Amino acid sequence: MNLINGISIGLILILIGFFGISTRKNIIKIILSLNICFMGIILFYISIAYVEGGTIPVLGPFEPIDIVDPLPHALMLTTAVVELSTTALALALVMKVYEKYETLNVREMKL
Amino acid sequence: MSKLIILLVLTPMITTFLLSITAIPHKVEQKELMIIRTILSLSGFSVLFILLFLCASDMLSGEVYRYSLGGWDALSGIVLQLDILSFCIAVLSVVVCFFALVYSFTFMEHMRGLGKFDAFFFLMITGIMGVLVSRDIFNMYVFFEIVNISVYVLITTGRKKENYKASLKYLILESISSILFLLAVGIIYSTIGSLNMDYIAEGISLLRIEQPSLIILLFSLFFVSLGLKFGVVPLHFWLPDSYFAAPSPVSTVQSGIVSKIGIYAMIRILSLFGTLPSDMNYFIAVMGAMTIITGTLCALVQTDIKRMLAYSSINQIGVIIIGLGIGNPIAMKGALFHIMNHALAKAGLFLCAGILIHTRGTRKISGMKFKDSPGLTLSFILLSLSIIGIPPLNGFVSKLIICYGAIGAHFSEFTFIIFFSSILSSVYYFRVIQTFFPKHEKKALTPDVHVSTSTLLPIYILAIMCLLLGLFPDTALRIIDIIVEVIL
Repeated sequence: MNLINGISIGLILILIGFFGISTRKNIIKIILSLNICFMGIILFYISIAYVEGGTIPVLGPFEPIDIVDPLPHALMLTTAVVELSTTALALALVMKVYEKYETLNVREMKL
Repeated sequence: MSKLIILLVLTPMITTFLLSITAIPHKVEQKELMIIRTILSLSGFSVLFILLFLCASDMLSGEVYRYSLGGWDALSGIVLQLDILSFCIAVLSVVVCFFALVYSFTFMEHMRGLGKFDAFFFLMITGIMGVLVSRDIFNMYVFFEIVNISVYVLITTGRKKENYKASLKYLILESISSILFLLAVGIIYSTIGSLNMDYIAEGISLLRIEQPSLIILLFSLFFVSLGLKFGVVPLHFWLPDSYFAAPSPVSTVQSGIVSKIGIYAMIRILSLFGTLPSDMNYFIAVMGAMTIITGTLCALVQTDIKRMLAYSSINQIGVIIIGLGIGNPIAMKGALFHIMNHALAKAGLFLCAGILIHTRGTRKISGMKFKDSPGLTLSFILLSLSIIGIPPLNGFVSKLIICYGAIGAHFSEFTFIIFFSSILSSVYYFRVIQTFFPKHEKKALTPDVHVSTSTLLPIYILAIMCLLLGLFPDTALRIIDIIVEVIL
């Protein structure tokens, strides 16, 4: 079995994201690390659905075993939308925080 | 009748859209807009109350409503389900949200100018109802995100420096929680092949023999992710900041309902795993005990009233987790009753804290002594005694039942911890209560800010509800008996 597949790369991306969230001090970099995590999740789900040599899940003259599972793709569309709105809100909050604290460094934001 | 479920989610959603129309710049007078918003939100709540009332008789007889969206079969489609557990928590959340909104009509007048507050408040109720009725685990995640996004916005309605910071901190930690939840859901889908909770429960019971390590991985992913939502101790650090910074009605709903929704999801997830091995039960109960100890000790040293209430919430959530962890029916009953009691009493206390901060002009507990109105004083004392667990009030009943359960399961060390935390809770609550009774009557300051009746009324009703539940707990306990029978 090939170890370099979508599932392992997805998990590594999630770990890279967690590393970024826990070590970066710049708030924008933290939000980018969150995005990397979500990319990892999306890759993980898409790889679960993958069938070796499968085709697109459209009705046609295929055996049911030949098609790629479409459900995780549908789920990931939802996750992508949720992630988009969360990121947009986070960036809006960053703008406000920068206005009030005049820094993007999380260590310097004291109450 | 089962079509009522979808209406439970749709009603607040439609109200959200109608309310957000009033937030667009108009030529209509600001005062008229306020009246329109008030009417819209009151009608939204009345429809919700009517829907819940229509379900009530079927629910109390132990029936279960199911509705599959779009007519898909349960294996790949989305199934909504309303049973007595979700019904009871739905009633509780609608009641607490209603009181918080009525309170905010006058209290938050300056913040509600943009119409943002009401719209996002109803969006949050949509999410809460969605989490309560969804039987599909991915759908649950989507509705959790709706709750979270609206809470991020609601926290910022205070428009102070710390509001934005608290909201950002909450956003990052809840995103981490969603990532872990999604990872667990992905693993479940790849091994079991369905997202419906009934199929997952079956699949997990098969997997237990084949791959026990996978079950432990799934359990820990769910525990960490939901623990971040309700603030189990190593993961509680965002909670005091966000409850402290949010405006009082928002921290009421956060502490009263949003954290309880996390616990509801935990109950559902625990029921997927069937009967846990006893060391796993012990682990959950130990986490609860750690939560209690940390919450109590941190609350003792707080000088700020809202931070103290936030740490007290952590303490009470620990009591609930001990009840869930012990896992026998008696302790489960206590935990469910404590969810209800804590939601009512802590909601009342946060509303009181809002008025106290407003009239005294300071968030500090110590310092000047004030003479507040006797109604407010009495309800604060009643609500805090209920949280501490003094006999004629409801907090005592649920804590006692959890202690019975702990002794029945031979985990008697946890009774000691609950007892110890109750004594220390009385220390930090009495520090607030003594500021109501100034030593020298003449030197005491009478607050000159007028508090309107519509702000005080929700607090009185919550205090009376706590007292009645403590004096006559039979009715509530009978309903909880049915819940325990259904979910165990």
